[in-house]
Amino acid sequence: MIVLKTSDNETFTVERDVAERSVLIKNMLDDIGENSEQAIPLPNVNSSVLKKVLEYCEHHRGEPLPAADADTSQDDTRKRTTDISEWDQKFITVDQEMLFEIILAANYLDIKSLLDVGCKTVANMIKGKTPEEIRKLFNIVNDFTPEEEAQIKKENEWAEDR
Amino acid sequence: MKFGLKSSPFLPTMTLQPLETSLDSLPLELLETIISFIDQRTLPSCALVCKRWVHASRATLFSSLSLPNDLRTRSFLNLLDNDTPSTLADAHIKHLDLSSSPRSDISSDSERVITSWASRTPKTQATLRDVFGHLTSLSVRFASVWVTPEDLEKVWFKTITSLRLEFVVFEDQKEFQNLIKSLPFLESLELSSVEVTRVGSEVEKPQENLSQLKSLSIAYIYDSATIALVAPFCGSLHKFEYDWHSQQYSSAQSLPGVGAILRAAKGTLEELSLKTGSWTEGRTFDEAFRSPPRARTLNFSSTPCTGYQYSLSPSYLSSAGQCV
Repeated sequence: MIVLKTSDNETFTVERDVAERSVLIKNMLDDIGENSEQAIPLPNVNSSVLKKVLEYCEHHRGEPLPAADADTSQDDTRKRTTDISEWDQKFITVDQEMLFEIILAANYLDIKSLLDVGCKTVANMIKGKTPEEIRKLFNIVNDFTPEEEAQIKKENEWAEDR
Repeated sequence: MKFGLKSSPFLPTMTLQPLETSLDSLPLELLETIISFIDQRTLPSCALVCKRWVHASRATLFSSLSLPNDLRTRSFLNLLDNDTPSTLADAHIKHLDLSSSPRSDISSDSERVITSWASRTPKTQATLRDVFGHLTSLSVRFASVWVTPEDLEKVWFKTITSLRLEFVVFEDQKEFQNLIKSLPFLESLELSSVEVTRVGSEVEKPQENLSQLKSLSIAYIYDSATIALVAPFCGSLHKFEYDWHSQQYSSAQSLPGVGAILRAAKGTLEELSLKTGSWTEGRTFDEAFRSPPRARTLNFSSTPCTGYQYSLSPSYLSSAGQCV
């Protein structure tokens, strides 16, 4: 069993293969060796988020981890599907704040599949929306000058009639 | 953060949740990952959300750009010709495709159109460097006469590592070799039905490190002298593919050129694939390989109907092993 300690000083005791869904934790465990009783500090994750993340890890335990070199983040070869499995979809049905917390935690803990689920969920929220709708949805301020906006619109038209 | 907005009666309710962690608190790289999952139809909207969103939205929408004819190319350049900086520079375009259709009535010398546009003013030149400064691959299909800019500074696609030419005509060997010389990062070259109108007898002598070329693929080129033009750039070649496409009568004719490439790549070649319609030319074939390459993978294949399938390869392989 592994002990994880969150930013708000809560401890979670989990089985090793669940914790090792996180590449960050896996690497830490590899470094400190088997026998350490010490709690692993996770200063960037609070308990409510970690609880959620561990729920995900528990459900997906035993599944093969993506290869370390498979991370080609912006590469075209990466699969561009936004399909999310039923369980994951239910799991990720949370408020915006928790959603972004999960994304940040998945990124920090290096849990690639969870990061993808989070990012795809946000992408799905954006799909088909106008710029104004997107700004409203995420509380974003429009910082373009009218000229800049006009230039982008012109370029968009060009991209559309290809 | 938007605390306290709840009391405002003027704002629609959907924006009112106070967001501790919002989309804005994600680092840029995560925003870019999110945008990379967005469909092509919504991406134009994404670019209009705010400045932070521009780069990722453009990068995904324009990572590959296709300019199939001069009209399209000019219309693209018009977008760049503006007082307001174009967001296309943010796109970091990686792949450029200048392939046109053979039946098209519109001429397609996009490369020359772009080059001449760039040389108009220092500003257009700088703009072009911004827009195409991240190109990694260029593909050209059906270009009547290829002209490489004399001034190498004007070669706006020199960052590419991969070049594919199909149905491209070069006036002479200098024009062809200058093109490859102007591309210091070129690793992969694919040539198909490339024609060099005038090939002189004095082919450039191989020089050390003339090119970084790692992978070369040639198809539908049967003129030996044309093939040999690539040889000086093959000093560090790892992979070579030559496809005769069943043109068995042309096979013998092109062999000396293939041999020149193999000799140049002798020390580094790891993978060799030769596809031919027939091995009846076996004798000539062996002559071409007087000094066979030290390739680790040799892949010989021929069309099944010839009956000569693989008859040569075992003996060739063993002799290759001994000769080295």
